[in-house]
Amino acid sequence: MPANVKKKKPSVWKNYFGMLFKAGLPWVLMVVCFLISFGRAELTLQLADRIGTTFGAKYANLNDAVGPLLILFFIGVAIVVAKVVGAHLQGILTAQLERNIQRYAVQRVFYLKVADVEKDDPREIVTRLTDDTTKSANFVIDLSCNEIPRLYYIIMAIIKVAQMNLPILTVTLIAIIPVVFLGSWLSGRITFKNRNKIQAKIALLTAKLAEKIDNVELIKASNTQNQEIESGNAVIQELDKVKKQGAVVDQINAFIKNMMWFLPVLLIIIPPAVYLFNKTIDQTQFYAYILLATSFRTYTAEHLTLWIYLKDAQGATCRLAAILSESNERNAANLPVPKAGDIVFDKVTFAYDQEPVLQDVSFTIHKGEKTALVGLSGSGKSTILNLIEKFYVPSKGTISLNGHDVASYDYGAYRSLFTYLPQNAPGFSGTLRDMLNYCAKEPYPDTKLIEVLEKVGLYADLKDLGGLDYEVGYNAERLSGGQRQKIGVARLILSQSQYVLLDEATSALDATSSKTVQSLVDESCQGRTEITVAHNLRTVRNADQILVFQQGKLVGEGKHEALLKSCPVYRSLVREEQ
Amino acid sequence: MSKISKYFVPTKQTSEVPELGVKKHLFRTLYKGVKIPWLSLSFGAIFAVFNSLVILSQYKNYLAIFQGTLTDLTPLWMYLGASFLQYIIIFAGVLADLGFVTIVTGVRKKMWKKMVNLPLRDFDTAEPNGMLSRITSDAEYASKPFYAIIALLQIIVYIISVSAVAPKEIPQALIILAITLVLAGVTIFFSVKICSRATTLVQNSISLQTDHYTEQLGSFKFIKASAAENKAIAKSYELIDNRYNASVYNAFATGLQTLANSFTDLIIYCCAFLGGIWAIGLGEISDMTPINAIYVFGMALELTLVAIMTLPSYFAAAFGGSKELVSVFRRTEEDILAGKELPEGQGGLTLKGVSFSYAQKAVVDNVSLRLPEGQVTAIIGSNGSGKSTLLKLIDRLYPASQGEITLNGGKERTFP
Repeated sequence: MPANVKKKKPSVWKNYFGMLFKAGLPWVLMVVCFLISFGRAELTLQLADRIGTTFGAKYANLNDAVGPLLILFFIGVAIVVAKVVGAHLQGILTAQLERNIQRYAVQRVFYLKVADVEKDDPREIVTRLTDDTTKSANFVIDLSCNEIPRLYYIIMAIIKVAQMNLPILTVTLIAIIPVVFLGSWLSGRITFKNRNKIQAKIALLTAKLAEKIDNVELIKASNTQNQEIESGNAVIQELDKVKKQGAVVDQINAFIKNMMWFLPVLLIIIPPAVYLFNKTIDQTQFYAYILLATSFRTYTAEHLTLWIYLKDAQGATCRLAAILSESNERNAANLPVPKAGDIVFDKVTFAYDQEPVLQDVSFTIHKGEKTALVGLSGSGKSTILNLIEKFYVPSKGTISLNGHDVASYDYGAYRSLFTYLPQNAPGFSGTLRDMLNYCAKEPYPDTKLIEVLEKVGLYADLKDLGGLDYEVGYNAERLSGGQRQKIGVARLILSQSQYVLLDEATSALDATSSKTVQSLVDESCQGRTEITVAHNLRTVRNADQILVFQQGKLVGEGKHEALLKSCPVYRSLVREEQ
Repeated sequence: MSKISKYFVPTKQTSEVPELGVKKHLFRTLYKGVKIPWLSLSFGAIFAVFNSLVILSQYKNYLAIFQGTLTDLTPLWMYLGASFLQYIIIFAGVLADLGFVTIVTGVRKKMWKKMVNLPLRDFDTAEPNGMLSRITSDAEYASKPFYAIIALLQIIVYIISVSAVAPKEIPQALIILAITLVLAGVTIFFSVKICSRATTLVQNSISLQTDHYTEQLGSFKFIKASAAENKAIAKSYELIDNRYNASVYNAFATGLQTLANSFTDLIIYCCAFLGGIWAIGLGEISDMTPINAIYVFGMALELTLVAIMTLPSYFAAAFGGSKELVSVFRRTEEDILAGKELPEGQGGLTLKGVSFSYAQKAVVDNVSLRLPEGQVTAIIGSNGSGKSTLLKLIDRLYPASQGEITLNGGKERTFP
């Protein structure tokens, strides 16, 4: 994989702009924002010229000054309006681009392969979707709308000053650029370093307090409130120290920042003031220079914003592009429609890393029968379910359904044949109704849902809480593990899919619930193909076929009675349970 | 606006105390028992005020530089020296900042003590990190009223000294200054309100997204197995649009904030150009010098003006943020030592008709039993049958809604 990433690096920006075009750029608004930004730069140049001429001119009748003053006022107001409207529109523009990138990225991410998602920390992918997209958008918008006007202003200002024919003024104007860059870089570095240090400390102390609050139950139960108030106060006192350090550091930074602002002021004021004093320049030129140089400083400093956006965007873009360039599970071509039949494993070998989890395994799962996979944990049972679901691809051998290699089927159509019930059935925020309809293409009528809920023995519990409209909360945490599992069974009953995959579906339940759930599952699996990874061997005695695994190898297959006689591994598993 | 309000999740009103009389006792509730470092605050305030005086003292020099009426270059160096001094004085303002931290620490400690003594039920009903943020972030608001006082002092001194030093030829400029300052104040006040609302909106929308993605990617296999990618994407789109709406509102806030920040320029334009036209119309001035002076004067005071412009934001923060703090301070604590008698020795526990419910659902319903002293009693039952709640009731972490628990013959509630 690392070699792969390296190969992709040079084309990051190509990928990036490719992504922008695919996501969709809001062209019209971009042009409008560019024009506003450009207009502002032009008006700022105008203002510098006109203030000098208006104040420097000698008016025979003072009423003649009213016109120029009014123009100055309107230019000033127009600059402010352009600033305000520009900020507003660019905010909207950034939001639009961000939305487009997010939409584009999210539909790629959910079609990524399981293996690709698992190799990353999911939290990182989340950051890419929520945070990196913003950084990308900020950079593109600032670059496309503001950069050309900024450069225009800077160049025009230099030209105008050069026309004054005083080389020293031109030199000082240009000297502002390195001073501003150096200053911002310096203060940025100090701020960054100290902020990080202080932030880390504050986070640590906050975590200490958080721990205490999380355990408030224990504190109260052990009657140690007073000790805790004391030790909490110690933490707060330490926080006080760190915050005070922070306040001092902030002020030092502000001082450095102000000095870096002050140095250019020296450059801006001293040379023209001396020239004005010597009468080398007149008041008109003096004003023009001061105003040009002041805005020149601002426009130069803004380049650093762009630089920061660029730095942010570079990292973000690398990460985004890496995700978006992964192959995904969306199949373009018209693939054969899968039909139910026997599932055949032919000499299948599979490894997550180096160590093979399955070695040269061959067997057949017959349509309409109940097949159980048994073995100690780590023997490769669950991997078989993962391979059947096409989460992973075998490293050797083939898996076929109804005579065709499963690789030839479209992911979505193929997976729709199966209903999967894992050990701890997950649930997502939403209503109970959403949870029941989760695997369904079309939602079921409420009456049907209630009927099934009653069947699995949940309706009485949840009726008073709002029934189907009950909000189950983040990760369905407002339901107990047993309730979530029963909802999984309810979905299984509703789905009528040809195949049912159970991965230790009852192991997290207490004895009574486990029994109920298993009998419900068996009942609903009449006429369907049931493939179950069993934890509790009693639940699979009635299986048509039991496959026994040990360390990635198939060591026995047959019915319960036959295996008891023929397979020592199975025998010891059964004995262990009794 | 209406589109946004749909997504705006108002922070839950945790307090059941009626809002009546909030203003009256607000400061007492907040600061009673908290040490206020008056000395460093006073010095901070003096420096803050002094800073604008320094630059005003240089007004004549500054004007001379700009109008080219210098007889020698001393005023130039004087002015630049004063500017440097101004930065040093701004730095000395750190004294006030240290004072603010001390106040916040005092309020933090007070809040922590209060919180430990709150009944457990208050923790269950609060949002997960709600309680923590009362201590970590909300406590910061406690210093804002003091910020506001200092800024208010600054503005008063500013107005007095400006009217003392300002060019007398155009009194109209002062009227315009007063009007624009008020306008600026109002704009900034609202922009702060709207900005903080926009920040909340954006942060809420991001955390909704983060929750959603974390939840979904945490069960990625399950989504794949259910072939439900499109459901996940549809929900993501909904949240992306929600965030877009928040961002658009934020863009509006940014625009307003830019307007508020631009008032330093607008005030100068209005005072110099409009004030100048006004004075010319009245025939009160004979040449451009006074107009020029006002413009230069405005530029010289820009830095002070920027500092003063922060005033409304402190007011907005002070009034907005203290509410949550006060609401916690007003809750009832567990009466740690208010009980009448201490439990004597040990004895059997008796539960008589004890009930308890979370929300509407009864978890423990009319339970009566006896737990004899010195014996091991086991409580068994299936998941969610109320075993743990029963223990919490016995330990008085929760109050029983009905029935009574007696220890050694004495009613439990009579013990501290």
